[in-house]
Amino acid sequence: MRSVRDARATLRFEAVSLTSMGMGVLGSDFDEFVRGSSPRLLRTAYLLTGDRGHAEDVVQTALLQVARKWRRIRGEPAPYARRVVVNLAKNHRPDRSRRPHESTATIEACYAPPDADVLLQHVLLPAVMDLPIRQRAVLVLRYFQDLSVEETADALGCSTGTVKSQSHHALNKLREALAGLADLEESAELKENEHAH
Amino acid sequence: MRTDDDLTTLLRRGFTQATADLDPEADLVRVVRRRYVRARLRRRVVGVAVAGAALAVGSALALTGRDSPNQTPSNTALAAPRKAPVTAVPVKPASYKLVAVKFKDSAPPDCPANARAPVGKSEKPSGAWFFAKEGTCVFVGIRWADTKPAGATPVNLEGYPGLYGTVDNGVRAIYAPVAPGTNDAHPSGGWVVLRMSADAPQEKAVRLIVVPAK
Repeated sequence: MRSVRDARATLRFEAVSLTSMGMGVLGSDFDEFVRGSSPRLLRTAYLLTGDRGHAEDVVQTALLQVARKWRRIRGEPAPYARRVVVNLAKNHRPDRSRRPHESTATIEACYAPPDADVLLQHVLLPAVMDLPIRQRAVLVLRYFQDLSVEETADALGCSTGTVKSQSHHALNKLREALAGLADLEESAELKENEHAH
Repeated sequence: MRTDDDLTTLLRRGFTQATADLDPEADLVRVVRRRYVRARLRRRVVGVAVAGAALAVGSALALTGRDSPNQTPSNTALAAPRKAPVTAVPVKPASYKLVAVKFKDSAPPDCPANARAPVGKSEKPSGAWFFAKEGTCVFVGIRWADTKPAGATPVNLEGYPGLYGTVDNGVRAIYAPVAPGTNDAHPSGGWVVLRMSADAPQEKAVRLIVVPAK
């Protein structure tokens, strides 16, 4: 009985000393970094994983890794955090078969008002989610995080040439996917005109 | 045909819309700090446990006078050369005990990729694994039997008298006797059964996992 109490006391002591160690290493600048960067990291993770729960897991784990390296990266932690989020998201792909498949046919069937935003949400984003993770990551980093080609290459751990070619392939695939969207937009305009008349 | 600029404009708009109402939980800072402290505590505890396990395995190997295949010989082994293998028929009935392997990597049927030890213990299923040669791994199930099968035939292994074996449907079973009074869980004695694939190196499996009881 006594040994159990001793062990608990030792563990409590360890926890307290580790907490103080943690506080010593992770100052208020870490808190500020988490508060400032987490919304964008979460949104990036969401665009990469397509699932809010997964995105939250990814961001928490990434911030934990940032905390571990804080002493070394505190000068410029954002690139490291971004790289970790991308790597975790790449390995954290949800089961594609469980994601409901959306097609332009479904959009046509439920098409009511000619809302370009709805089309965007139901056609463009599913098409992005169907891209291979590497191509999707390039698009998200370039056009959501607004990173340069060099910064994107650094975040993905590849060459700038790879970023350019992946971006080219991804945009071509989106162009194909959106070919049907042009027809829908045209018919939407027609309906708008009919309503106007 | 849409240009790249059209597409990227659409993408920026779509990304912004899709994530507009997405915000991290309010206490994220606290959650991350708590996980950080727990992880450090866990690493410290695991470090102590691994050091303890390494000491225990080192002691076991030194006591049994054997060295693992991938390690340099210990000072103890150098100081006290191995005895010549016992080839004569033993005076008293042979008895064996399991080598005190303390590693608890849950690995079956494959060895853990990061395993550094030449042999490890697995809890579920109960057994042990070892590297037979570069890159290949052998899993050996460890069971208990009160009696050996009637069809078991003697296995001749230098220094390991009294072993029996069977091969059935590609599975080899080696029966190592345990004398009464030498095992707390089975005071009336019985057999340790090592089950492995028929093409697994049975000699290495036996020598790594069981040792003759003194």
